Amino acid sequence: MAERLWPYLITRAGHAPEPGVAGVGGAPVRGLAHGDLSVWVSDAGDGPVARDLESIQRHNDVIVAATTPGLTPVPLRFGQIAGTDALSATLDARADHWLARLDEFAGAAEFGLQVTEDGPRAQNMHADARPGRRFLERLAARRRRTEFMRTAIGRAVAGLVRREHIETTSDELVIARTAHLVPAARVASYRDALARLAAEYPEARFQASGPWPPYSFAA
Amino acid sequence: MTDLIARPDERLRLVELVNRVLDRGAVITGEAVISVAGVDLVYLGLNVVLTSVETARARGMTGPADG
Repeated sequence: MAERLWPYLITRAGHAPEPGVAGVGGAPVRGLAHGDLSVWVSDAGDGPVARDLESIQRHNDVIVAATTPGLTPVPLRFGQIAGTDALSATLDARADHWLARLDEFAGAAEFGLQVTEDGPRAQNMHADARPGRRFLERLAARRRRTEFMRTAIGRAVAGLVRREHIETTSDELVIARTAHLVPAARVASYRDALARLAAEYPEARFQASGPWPPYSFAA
Repeated sequence: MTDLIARPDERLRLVELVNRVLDRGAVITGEAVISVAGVDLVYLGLNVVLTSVETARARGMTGPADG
């Protein structure tokens, strides 16, 4: 039976989990150091890949538990199974990339923002969404709103974030979805800036989430 | 009024969590499991969210970190 490990994150060598950190399925988490880096893993067992909400939450919890004020690990996507050799080879192949991410992430976390239409216009959206000129006009207007809002968000958080990730979505009520990598020292200012922006556009609904591990910036 | 400062509701938090954990994060194996038994994990994740919100609420699941 091939070795089946569940990887959670990449961190610096020497940063090992505290005893008792449990991963997916309650399996103990350990660090596999290789060169300057370490990947935290647990035994995945032989069964099918876990895919319930609790496992998703656990995967995230391990990454959150590994985060310290000075070190934010690189979060790995859920559901990757590999052996020690494959993981070591991956660390080697992109060592510079992972070290650069660790430098960039240190002292920071990801924050999500979703801006949606609110109020009567949003409620009428589906009624109007039928083929025809009015629909196309609405589509064009929505694209303009999206571009406008993305620009407004970028301007509002300029100087407060290390990186910005703009998401695309097919959800027609969503005006903009973004993720920002925010240093801890800037979080309060970042929230204030978005609150001011939200106050400027009462017809839109602003919803923030975070802090998260920097999933959107890890690739 | 803005609800920006308030914590997002539980459903949004779970959607955000599942989106991130399943669909983002670095892929390090050449054979990332992007589907389970032919079902796309993101789609699967959506179902997980839709069917699990009440369960999560009942268990009093908390956020990924204080925020």
